[in-house]
Amino acid sequence: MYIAVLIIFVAVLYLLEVLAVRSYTTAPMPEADTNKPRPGISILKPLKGLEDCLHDNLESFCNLDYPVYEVIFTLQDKNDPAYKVVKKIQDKYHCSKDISIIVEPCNAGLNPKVNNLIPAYKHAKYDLILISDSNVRVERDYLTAVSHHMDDPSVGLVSNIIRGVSGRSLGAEMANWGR
Amino acid sequence: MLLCDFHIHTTYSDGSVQLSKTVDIFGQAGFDVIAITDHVVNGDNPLGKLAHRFKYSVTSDNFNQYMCHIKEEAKRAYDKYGMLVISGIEITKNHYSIDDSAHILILDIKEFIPACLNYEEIFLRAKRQDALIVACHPHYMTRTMDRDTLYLWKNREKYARYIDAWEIANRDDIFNVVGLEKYPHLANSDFHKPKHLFSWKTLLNCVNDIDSIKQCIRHNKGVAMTLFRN
Repeated sequence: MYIAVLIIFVAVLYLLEVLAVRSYTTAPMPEADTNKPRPGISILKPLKGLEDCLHDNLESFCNLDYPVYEVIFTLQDKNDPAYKVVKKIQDKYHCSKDISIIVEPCNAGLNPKVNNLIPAYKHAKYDLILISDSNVRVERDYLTAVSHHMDDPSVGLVSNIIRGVSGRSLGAEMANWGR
Repeated sequence: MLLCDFHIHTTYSDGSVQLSKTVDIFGQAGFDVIAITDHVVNGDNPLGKLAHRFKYSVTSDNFNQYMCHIKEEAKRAYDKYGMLVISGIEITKNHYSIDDSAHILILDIKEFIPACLNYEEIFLRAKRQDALIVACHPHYMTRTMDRDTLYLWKNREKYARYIDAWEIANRDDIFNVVGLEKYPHLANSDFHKPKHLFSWKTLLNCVNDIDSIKQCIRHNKGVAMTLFRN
């Protein structure tokens, strides 16, 4: 009896969470002013190992319709399997996009991702910095949509909610439904 | 160096992943060259008949469809990933005794070769197509689910002159004897499931086109092996 009540309680909580997140993410966003000149953006992508669909994830950042931006991929080790993937992407877009690969060991902190980001940050040429993990894939208008929030002088940081896809387990799939 | 895997199965035989998905798995991981090598099983004994019964073999009936599909995927892979996809088969001569069994990769195949032919005829038909001949897992393996195939190794004095390369490593196994004989070698995954991506691979120091790759393997200069791990 108690177990059944607990299961129903958890299911209702989960449903409420799904509805809350859905209502937030489907709410209409304010339109970006496309006539206004956009500031340059440096995208920092720390890499380590092969994620699922790594090529597509990384390539999506090289196809953005934003006027001025650079993508800086950064690794600690040239023998990392992600290096070959990102090198191919750089070769593919070397004529049309500003893409750099930095391979530089750094042990400044305890967090490996932070260590990976430090050399990339030094290399960034624009004032606006976007940090994005290697398992993230975006639409072409992503930078335009996210950057116009920075037009508000009272905004110093913009964050995104990520939506999971292709979960390998029931738990992962349920987490994806809620996003 | 080109990152290569020349031994990959799909659902055309006993692989668990469909061809297009298989191409994407390797493309997303940054590979430069792969060969699709589904089984062509001998149907002249009950083991082979069973494989045909459960459609674990490419046959003369679906060979053209198999080749067309690989060609389509090769174009897609080259456009999207800059990855070369080579058409191939694995001639699979299974017998009750491991001493009589042999598996042979035919890479860059153009016309169907039945597995029930004798070895010389298979090799000559492959040579006539300018295909590469690779002896697969030629020695004892540690895998419990797969049977060893020792025929070519036990008869190497007779057949080595036909064989362009021997697998010195297959998935997690290494065959020291191939190195000791100084035979030309390759290292492959024998991919059947996504987890097999992380296994022994070949590195080639040549241009990424089929003729340069075949020449590199035949001459066995600029050939290295690497244990591909995440």
